[in-house]
Amino acid sequence: MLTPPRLTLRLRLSISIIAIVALFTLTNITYQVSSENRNLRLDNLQNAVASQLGIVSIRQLLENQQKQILVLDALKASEGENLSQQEIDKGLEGLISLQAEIMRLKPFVFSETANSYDLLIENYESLNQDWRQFYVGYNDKRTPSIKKVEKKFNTTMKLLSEFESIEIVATEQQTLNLQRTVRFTDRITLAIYLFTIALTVSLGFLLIRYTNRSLNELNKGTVRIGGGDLKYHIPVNNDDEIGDLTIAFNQMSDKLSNAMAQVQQSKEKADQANRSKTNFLANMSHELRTPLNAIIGYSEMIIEDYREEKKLDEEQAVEDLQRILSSGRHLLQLINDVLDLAKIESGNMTVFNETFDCVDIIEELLTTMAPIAKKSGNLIVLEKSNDIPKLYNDAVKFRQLLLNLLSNACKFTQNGKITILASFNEKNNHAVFHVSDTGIGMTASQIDRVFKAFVQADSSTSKKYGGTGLGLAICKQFVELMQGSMDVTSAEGKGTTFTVLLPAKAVLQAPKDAIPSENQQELSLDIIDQSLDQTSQEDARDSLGKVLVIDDDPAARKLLLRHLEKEGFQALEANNAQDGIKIAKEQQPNLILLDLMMPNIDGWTALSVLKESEQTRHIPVILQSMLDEKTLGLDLGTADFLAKPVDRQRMATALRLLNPQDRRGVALLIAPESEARDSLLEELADEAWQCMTATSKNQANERMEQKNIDIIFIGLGIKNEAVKDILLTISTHQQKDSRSTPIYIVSETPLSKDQSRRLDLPADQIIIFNASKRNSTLKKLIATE
Amino acid sequence: MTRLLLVEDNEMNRDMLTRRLTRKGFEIDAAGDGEQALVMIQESMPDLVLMDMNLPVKNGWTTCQEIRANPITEKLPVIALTAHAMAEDKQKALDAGCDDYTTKPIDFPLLLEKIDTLLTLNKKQGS
Repeated sequence: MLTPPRLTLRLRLSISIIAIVALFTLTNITYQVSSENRNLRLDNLQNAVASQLGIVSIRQLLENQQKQILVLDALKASEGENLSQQEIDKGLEGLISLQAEIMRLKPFVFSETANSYDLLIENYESLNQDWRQFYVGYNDKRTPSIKKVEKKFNTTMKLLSEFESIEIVATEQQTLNLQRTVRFTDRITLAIYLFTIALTVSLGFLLIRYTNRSLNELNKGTVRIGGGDLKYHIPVNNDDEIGDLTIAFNQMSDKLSNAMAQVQQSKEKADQANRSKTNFLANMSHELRTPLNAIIGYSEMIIEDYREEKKLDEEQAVEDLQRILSSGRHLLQLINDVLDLAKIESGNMTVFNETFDCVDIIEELLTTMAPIAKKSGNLIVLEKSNDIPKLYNDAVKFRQLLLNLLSNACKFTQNGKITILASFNEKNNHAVFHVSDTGIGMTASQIDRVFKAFVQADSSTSKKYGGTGLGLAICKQFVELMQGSMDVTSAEGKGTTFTVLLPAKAVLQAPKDAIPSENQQELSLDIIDQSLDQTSQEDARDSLGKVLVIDDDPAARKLLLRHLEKEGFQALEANNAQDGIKIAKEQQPNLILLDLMMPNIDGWTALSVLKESEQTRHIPVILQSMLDEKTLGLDLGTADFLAKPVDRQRMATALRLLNPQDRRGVALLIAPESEARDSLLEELADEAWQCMTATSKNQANERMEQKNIDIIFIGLGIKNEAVKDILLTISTHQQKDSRSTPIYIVSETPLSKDQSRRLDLPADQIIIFNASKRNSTLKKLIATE
Repeated sequence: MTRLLLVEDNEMNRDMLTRRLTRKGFEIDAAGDGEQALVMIQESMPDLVLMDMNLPVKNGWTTCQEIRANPITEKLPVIALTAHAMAEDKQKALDAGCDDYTTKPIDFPLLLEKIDTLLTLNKKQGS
């Protein structure tokens, strides 16, 4: 079916113009017709007059001719006189002109008069014949008298009169017809003319009204939208250009409204962020002021006591000082928590992955928590399934997380039961930990806020139960960093259950500039399995020597001891500097791991004491701290520095290097951080190489400046182009030092011909490091080089 | 002897202020929450109330409003003690009907001055 064409404004205008032009043409045509008819009528009248005149003259000529012939005939009969040739010719001439006169009538003959005219001609011709013979034969006496011609003459005259009368009637009829036609066409012309005017006026009016109405709607809409009512839609009444304009305008206003909504949204987001920041600051200020109030208040009071009474109630003073101390500690905890949060939020919190037995840590925590649980009359129970695998994750964070959940449970439960349920979900490959209590629980709205910073379920809770209100926020963030998830269910008055899911196997943090491949994934899994094997091997090894750990934090100390024992060292421990120095003097350990932040005597002081004493001066000390104090530490005579939390592998390497007789040389490994790299480092360390690492060309350069390097490994995730760059740097360096250090390219997969050609290195310098089967070439190489 | 009612839920701060104010010659009654404070005011009218704002059971703002709503305690001077230190927190306390406001950590001499001013003012009005 044909759809009707769109009635656009242009179409409307075109149709109007065409209609007007058509009507105008029609008017012209009718006018033309009428004027032609008028002309015809005039012609008709003229013809009628002419034919009447012709008839009158013919009648005259006929009568004259008759008279003349009658006279001549009489003369001939009476006198017998001949006519001269000239006179005969004149007579014949008269006949010819008469005939011409009759023939001249022919154009005026109408169809009605044609018969009469033909009859007239026929009679006249016979008369003319007779008259001709009369003239030609006049001088011949034998020619009979013309008398008998009279009858023909009368008939002709009669026919002429008949023709005349019929001609008049016909002319009148004709004229009447024409007049009627003229009158009719005149009427039509007038009608069309009037119609045209009416049509033009009405079309103009309609167009103006229609356009005006549409434009008014549009105008109203633009004014409303312009005034800010972006939701307003101009109604689309017409399917034409104005309709199109309206639709386009509506679309524009929609887009504008969307954009405005987006702007509004971002503004709200920004405002929200600003509000949270302000809230955070206000909360922070509030949280800091509360313990500060106690600190300042009690301190002032003690001073007042001392100044005003000149003596101190010692017992009271100690009690007050303890309050100051506990407020101070609370403040410190708060600041640490805030820093932790800030670190997490800025993305600077790193995860130190290692393989650990989560059940071990939980059991250790149970011991730590026992006195606290006892104080609130709680019983802590551990229920575990036997299939939980060792986790490869951040053990320190795991410990902190569970400690936080357990102390929360203890805090909010009185004389109840706290259950830790540890299990393994094989399907999702997740270790699952539930920490449930039978404490005060939370309402639904409290559950909503529980993971938010500075929000304890009830704002008065912190006063009643203590805590910074940041613990759970940090826990949640930790779990997310550890690629797990955390959730809570609770019923008011019945208790709360926190559930933590952690990936059970390899959490691979892909090196930033290496393209992760399936190979690598497998590799890292292999490394873990292998390191597990190794752990058990190492357990069986004889003690490598004595290591003393001095750290006030029992958790950190325990963790280090566990690592050390696994590495095959005999571990000694001290929870403060004083004891540590004493043990160092008595036991003469091969190495001391010293924490910097300790109460009473801090690490720095302890270090100077150790370095001043004859008995302990020779013992290497490795400092450990949250803060990077490496330079200062090395200046003060320490052997190495470990950043807390201590990475096990980093520690193992550091420990091995301290036996100088076993040290083979310095190896530089240029590769991004990855499990494969760590595995290679471990192999090197196993063979007593002192390892240095670099992740970039510049770092490699720095390392070469620092120390003489005996062997260089490049690869495991460094891109080919970069390898070439590094090779160039090394060779420049070696030319400067006139050294020739062996360089090996380490790759997980065999290099293609093209790749090795581009590297321009002999094939024996390319090692395929496939950790699942220990590479014998590498092994031999690092054992003999 | 001038009797002050100290409303403070934090045990340490309560202990500290009670002792310091007692030493300055005030008689101190202490309450741990707003509800308790209202009961104590009913039982015996103190000369002035020192009130923490973040209180359990009934917070300081509501408590203060209730003190103002009761014709008997309407004129009782109240000083807000709070660790909320923002300008709007001060306004919030004053709007709730507190006569004065001081932030934690407390500037003790300033607090004494404020107590003194309010007590003098109240005495003048009373006489």
